[in-house]
Amino acid sequence: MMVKEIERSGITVVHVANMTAVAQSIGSNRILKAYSIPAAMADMNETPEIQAKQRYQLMSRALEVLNTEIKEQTVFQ
Amino acid sequence: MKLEIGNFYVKDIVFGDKTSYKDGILTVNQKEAVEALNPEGNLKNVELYIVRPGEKTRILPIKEIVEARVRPDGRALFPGQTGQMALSGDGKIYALKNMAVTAVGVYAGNGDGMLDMDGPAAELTYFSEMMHLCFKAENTDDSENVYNPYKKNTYYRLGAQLLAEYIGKAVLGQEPQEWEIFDNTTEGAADLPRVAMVLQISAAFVKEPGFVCRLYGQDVINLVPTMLNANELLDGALCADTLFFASFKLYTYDYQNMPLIKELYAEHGKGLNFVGVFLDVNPAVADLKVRASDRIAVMAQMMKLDGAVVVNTGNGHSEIDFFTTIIKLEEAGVKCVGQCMESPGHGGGMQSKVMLDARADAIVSTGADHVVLNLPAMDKVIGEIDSVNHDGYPGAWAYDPEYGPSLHEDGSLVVDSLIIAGHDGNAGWSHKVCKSY
Amino acid sequence: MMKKVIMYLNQFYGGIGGEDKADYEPSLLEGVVGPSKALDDMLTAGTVTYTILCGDGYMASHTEEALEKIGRLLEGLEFDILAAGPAFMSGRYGVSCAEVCNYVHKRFKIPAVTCMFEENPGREMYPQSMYIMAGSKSGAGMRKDMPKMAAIIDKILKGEEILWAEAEGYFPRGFRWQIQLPKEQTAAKRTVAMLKKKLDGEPFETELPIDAEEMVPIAPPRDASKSRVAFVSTGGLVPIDNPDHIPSAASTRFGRYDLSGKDVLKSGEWKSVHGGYDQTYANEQPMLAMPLDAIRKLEAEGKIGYFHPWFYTTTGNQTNRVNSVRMAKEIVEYLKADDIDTVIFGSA
Repeated sequence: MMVKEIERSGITVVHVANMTAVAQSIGSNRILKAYSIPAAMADMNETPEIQAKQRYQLMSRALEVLNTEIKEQTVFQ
Repeated sequence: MKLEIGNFYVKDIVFGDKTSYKDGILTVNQKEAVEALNPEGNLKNVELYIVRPGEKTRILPIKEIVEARVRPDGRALFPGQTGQMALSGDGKIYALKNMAVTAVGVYAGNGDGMLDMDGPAAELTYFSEMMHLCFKAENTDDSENVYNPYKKNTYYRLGAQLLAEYIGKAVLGQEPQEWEIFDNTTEGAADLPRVAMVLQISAAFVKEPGFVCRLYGQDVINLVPTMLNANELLDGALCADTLFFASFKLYTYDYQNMPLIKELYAEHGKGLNFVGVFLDVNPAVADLKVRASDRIAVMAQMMKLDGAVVVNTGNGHSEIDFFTTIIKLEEAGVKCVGQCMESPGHGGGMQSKVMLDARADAIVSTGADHVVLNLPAMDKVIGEIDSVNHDGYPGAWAYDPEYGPSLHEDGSLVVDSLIIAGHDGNAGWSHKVCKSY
Repeated sequence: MMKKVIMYLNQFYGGIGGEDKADYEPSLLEGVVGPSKALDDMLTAGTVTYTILCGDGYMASHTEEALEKIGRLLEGLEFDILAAGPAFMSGRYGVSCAEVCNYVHKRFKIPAVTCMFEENPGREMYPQSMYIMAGSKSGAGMRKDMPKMAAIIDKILKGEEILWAEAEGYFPRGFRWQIQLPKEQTAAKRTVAMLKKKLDGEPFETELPIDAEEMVPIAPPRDASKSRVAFVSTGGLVPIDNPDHIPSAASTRFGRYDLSGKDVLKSGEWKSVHGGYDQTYANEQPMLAMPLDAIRKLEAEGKIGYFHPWFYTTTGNQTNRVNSVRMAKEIVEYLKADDIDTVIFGSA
């Protein structure tokens, strides 16, 4: 619901969440699937080095999603 | 399958020389009972107590509640758990009514609850309306004798199941006072709408086995949704977890007596064709949630379901499984009614569920799982009253900025209804509902 | 003893005039006029002592001044409840009633009651500050609406229990409370009965009404290298001492923390207070919730044009609509002040 209110003001938002079903249910438009509930930004079972790479890749992907034209609510992987 | 449950009504429980049942009086030999529930000595200082409705008694922390039963043909009461593996759900079983067998410990964790047998909390749960044959014991596993919310309670749970089976034997050789028949082969149902119950069980959330439900004695931590005959569920196929909170969890007693199953059976062959039970799970990873809901929808299509009752028994992200399963089933053309508790919080203003989706257009509410209760002191405590000071005991607290400590010097309590065993009545018992204000 | 009621009316119902008098500034009339007389006649537990009059146009164009002026007019008066409207389908009047009820409720700590048609935009502004009775679409419904307002005002003044929305006829205010039904009405019976109705195509009524989520227009795509970017999160990551006491669930507030000069978030300096998941992972590595190192790298590479120095954070689990919307609006004010046009939003 917060995502939607921020987007209502004209700000482009990417919602990075593992629980994409919830993100869809609360009306987020650009949704990027994250790793898990307790550790959204990297795989909690990986080494710190790999996690750092995963964070960078996920945020890079988030920037791509922000720059993607969409016609309807979309879940990106 | 045809399950025939022969009921023996228990008017009172007493301790005596020989474990027996006569004229409604259950007599229990304490020494034998303790040996039966603790065969390997994994519990210590085991004591038995008899508690009746209306007595000023408080029981806590409660770890498991089981109905005392026995099979006249000698199969284990909980196949794979208390004895040899065997299929359940078919044949005759005897049950002792008006009472339960209840395991009580010292240290509390996520899965533990409390019962008052008198006063305001006694009005809130059906478990306060029956007698309890309780055992209180200490755990020999010191790793569980600490303030840690994650406790496996393995031998408490098994102990209650074993004691239930031992007590059940008291009625062997006698004729039950009534029979309940559960026969899903009834003719005349074939042309009616095909309906299943989708029951969420405690199956994941933690990484390690030992906390969740057991299906034929096996931990279900990695369970992929599966299908049971409803009779198997009524007949000991599933044993309770020790992870979901006391107010909303289903105890083994609930599975054995599930009102939703009985209600669906009551309509079987009249208004619907009750085809069985699907078990739904609650993994902490989105892909596994999707996989589980997909499996349920695929099974529903293979079973040519017209309708389903979808039951939510866990809070937090388990509510996502509840909604996604309903959505997937509705998309597959299965008309669903969900049943869930709500969590609007102490102020009533929290969003009721973690996720809400308008596609779930038919929901029955079992009430609110967070209600602040001020409870008077009781004359007698069975278990350990200090457990309410243990952090991580849902519904009780050592300190709260608004309410202070749960336990007052005079023995009275301020708690959240999360601690009341069976408060939400999610097996279908609940006569509560939330309304919009 | 009779309790005291003050009523708010617009210029039209207050007898000042029509649209030509819409810029009428707030005034206080001792006694009653039009609808406030009707209300006074119907009340059994209270009497309307004063009527506030204000033009709809003035309230719409000078909201803060108008409310402040009303506050000053009421200062020192004794009263137990505020009534406003009914506003029917009139959008400006409905919004005025909601603004005045909210303001007076908060400033004078008294209950407020209004009445309007369900589609009136005033209905959803401050649902928890007042009771809004479900009213008629047009002024012809005045005779139906006024008794509804009188009934609930009498109940409130007598201190009687206010039942749920449907039973009393007000719009739900965002609260859910539990009631007990007769014992035989078990959830099992209710569930199977509802399923039979649904299967038979008969009407049924859910016990947990869920509004369909309204979608907002999709904001345009933005190239982050040319954008001003901020990070907002409901993952519950806060400084280790949780200085703003962000709660573990049902949050009503957010924290705003300075990231200037930081390239990483270190274990021991941050922790998760989110009550909906196992927090140990984020406690050991806060950047599993807020990936600052990755963002700094992208910033250094020029892939993020500008990164807002503040990080906004709260817990998302079971935070209700009213609080979510309010917190988001407050955050947007901060973001707009720094010309932010792009947000990365992290959650569980």
